[in-house]
Amino acid sequence: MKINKFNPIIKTNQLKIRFGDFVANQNINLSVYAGQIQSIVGENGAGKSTLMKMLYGTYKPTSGEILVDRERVHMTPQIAMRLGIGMVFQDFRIIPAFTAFENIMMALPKEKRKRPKEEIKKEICEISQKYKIPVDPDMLVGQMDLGQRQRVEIIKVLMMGKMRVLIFDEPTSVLTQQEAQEFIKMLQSMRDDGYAILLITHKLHEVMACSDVITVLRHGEIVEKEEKENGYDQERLISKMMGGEVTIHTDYEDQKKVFEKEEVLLEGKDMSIYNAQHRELIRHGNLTMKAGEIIGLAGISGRGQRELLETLFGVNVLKMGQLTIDGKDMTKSSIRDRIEAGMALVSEDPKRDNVVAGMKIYEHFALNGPEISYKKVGINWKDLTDKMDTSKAVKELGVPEKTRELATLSGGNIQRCMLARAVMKQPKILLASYPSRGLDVGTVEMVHQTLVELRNQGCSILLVSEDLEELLSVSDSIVVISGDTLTEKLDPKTTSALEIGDLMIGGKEHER
Amino acid sequence: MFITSLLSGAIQCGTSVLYGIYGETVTERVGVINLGTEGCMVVGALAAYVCTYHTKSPLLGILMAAIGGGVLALLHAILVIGRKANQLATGLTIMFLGLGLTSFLGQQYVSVSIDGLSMIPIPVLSGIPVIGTALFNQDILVYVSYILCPLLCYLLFKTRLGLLLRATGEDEEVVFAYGANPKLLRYIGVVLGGMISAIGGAQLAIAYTHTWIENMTNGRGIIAVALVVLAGYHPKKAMIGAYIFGGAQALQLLLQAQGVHISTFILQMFPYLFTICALFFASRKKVQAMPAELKKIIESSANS
Repeated sequence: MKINKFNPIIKTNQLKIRFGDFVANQNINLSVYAGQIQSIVGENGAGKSTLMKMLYGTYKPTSGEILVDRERVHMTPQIAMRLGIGMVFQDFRIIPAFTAFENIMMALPKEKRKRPKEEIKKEICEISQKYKIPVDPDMLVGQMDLGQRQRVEIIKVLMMGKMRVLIFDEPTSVLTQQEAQEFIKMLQSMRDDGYAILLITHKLHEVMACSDVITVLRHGEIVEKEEKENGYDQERLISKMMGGEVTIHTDYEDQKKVFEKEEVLLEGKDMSIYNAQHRELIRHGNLTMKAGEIIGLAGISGRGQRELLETLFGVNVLKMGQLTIDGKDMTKSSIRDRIEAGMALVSEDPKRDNVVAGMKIYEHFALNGPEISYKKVGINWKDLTDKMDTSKAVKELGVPEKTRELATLSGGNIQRCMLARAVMKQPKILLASYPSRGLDVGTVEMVHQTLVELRNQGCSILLVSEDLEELLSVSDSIVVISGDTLTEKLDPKTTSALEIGDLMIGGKEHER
Repeated sequence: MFITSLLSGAIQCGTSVLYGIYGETVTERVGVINLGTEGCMVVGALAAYVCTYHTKSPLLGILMAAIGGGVLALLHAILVIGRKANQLATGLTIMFLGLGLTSFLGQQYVSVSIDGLSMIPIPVLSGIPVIGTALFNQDILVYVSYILCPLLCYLLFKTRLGLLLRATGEDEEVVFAYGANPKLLRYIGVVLGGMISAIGGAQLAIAYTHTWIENMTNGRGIIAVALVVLAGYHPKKAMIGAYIFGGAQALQLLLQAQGVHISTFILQMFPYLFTICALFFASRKKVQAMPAELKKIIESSANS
């Protein structure tokens, strides 16, 4: 489709929004055209989501104007819907206790509601076939994985009216690499059907190929705009995103200290891992963790990563199989015993698992962190805060001011606090889930650096991530959850992301 | 005929609780917990009684009960939705307000008997041996309680209003995003719930006992709140809990009548003990069915 350069669907003039003293966006002049994929990239906190929420009407701009079809609009979600602007939120606006169909029903505009169920189901099927986004309308959303939920959300938005503009907020963050590729294909076919697509992401490499325009946001302002026809300058885009301070991708291999003694720290034999619903996720899994080794655990999300880590840490009881830590049988031992044996866990959702509302950061460090000393009748807080101030991990990972309440921080910030806390304990075995999720490129680099240093001190690390590139670059070996089995250790030097992806997916089909 | 009496008694006794469960189910489905259900029921009982006493019309009595319970539930709604007061504390207060208010207003009516609703045997059906009389020789409010179950299921699960009501209980932001008003939906759910519960109170006063005694609901509203969980927040399972409670009540009355030598105080504990047992065996699984907004309330109350 030819892009009509003179008639944007949405155009903004000097859009600005302020929360208290904080200016989240300013000087935003953006045009959105039909049949075009426009990617908005930027670091975390660059103001991408805020900008999109203004376009969708969730936030009211402090000043500036939004024009739709050249007319000024005071946007609200209802008006946006009527004008054909739909948004797929990062945290999905769907109800887990309802089926996909019920969720879609609720979102339908007035004129569509009266139609018979069969007709609506038919439309759902048509859309899902057209864009290759299969959904089961009668399945409970709560039973779906994040990828499926996203598909429901997309279909829902498409059915909400005559959509012209689709806004996606960090859509690929919940998808595996394969799913993300499918997703990009879907976006392209939507573009070819004439939709205007706005894509927010901090994963530049994913969107380079499919975007027609890439707009870079930094500190709430547009700092760069490149068009496909003129060719992208990747380095320039990245440096604009990061504000000039680009760190070159480190090759962690050089820093590797070889551990000769091959000391086995943890050995799990024949482990069966169950989820809370007593479904067996991993059958007869074997895992050996040696000193000075980073094992990357790859797998489709929700295939037992969380449960495996929790079982190793003692949150769940290992019902089948055997677990030895440091040569001692720890199959039935308590979490406390395992912590004393030098084990630490960075949970995949620390907000749920670790954060005590109302407690400050340093108080969380006292709960389960470096050893605390006592002065007279209480905790020697000064000693603890001194330790935190001098800790390399705290500094490098950028733990925010330690008197702040942990619960008020963003997910990525909480995650880095938890990692810093675990590192300060100098664990012998570290189980780390998604330590770099939701962080920007610079911080991710520091997370990797921290993990590698810890490894070089002899720690054994099990690293869970959905980012295969990350796993391949940081890990010494890779274990894949393939269907309901754990694979042997694979060598990241001789294994490609595609092979790992195949194992992840292949196992899934095998199970069916 | 022991079985028939027991069954009949269970239904007679359980129907008031059944209405309470229906009402509280509707309330909790929109994400509000109303511990004041007891208050709504007792207000319903007195309103129905007084109105029937003066007008001689039980139907007007039922209407008055619904209005009375609705007003008390509206007060709860204003406090917890409009003013965002703590739901548990407000509910308890509403309960005691209802109990106190009715004790005061009902002084002159205590233990005066009225005709109220009489049994209406349904032809043919009431002739079925053993269960016929128990199920189909009852008052009109019992029959309505039979029909109310599919009606509420239809409302909650087959209509758009029901979908929106339930969605409000799950995630009010989603409802808001679709242009509906979650606050208004909550008000509807809470007031409707209070009205239904109050009809349970009416059944107790004008159909079951035909009299007014202060605090006559005797914890039925609280039991109803507990049994909503047992029913998994679904009207279709409300009868199970209600009739367990009613059956235990009927059993203790029958045992007392037969002069069994157990302390009446122990016997009177029966319904509550049975309910505790039922909850003990059923609760573990039910948490998942709990509307998400309700979870938030309970968690935030636990944290603060």
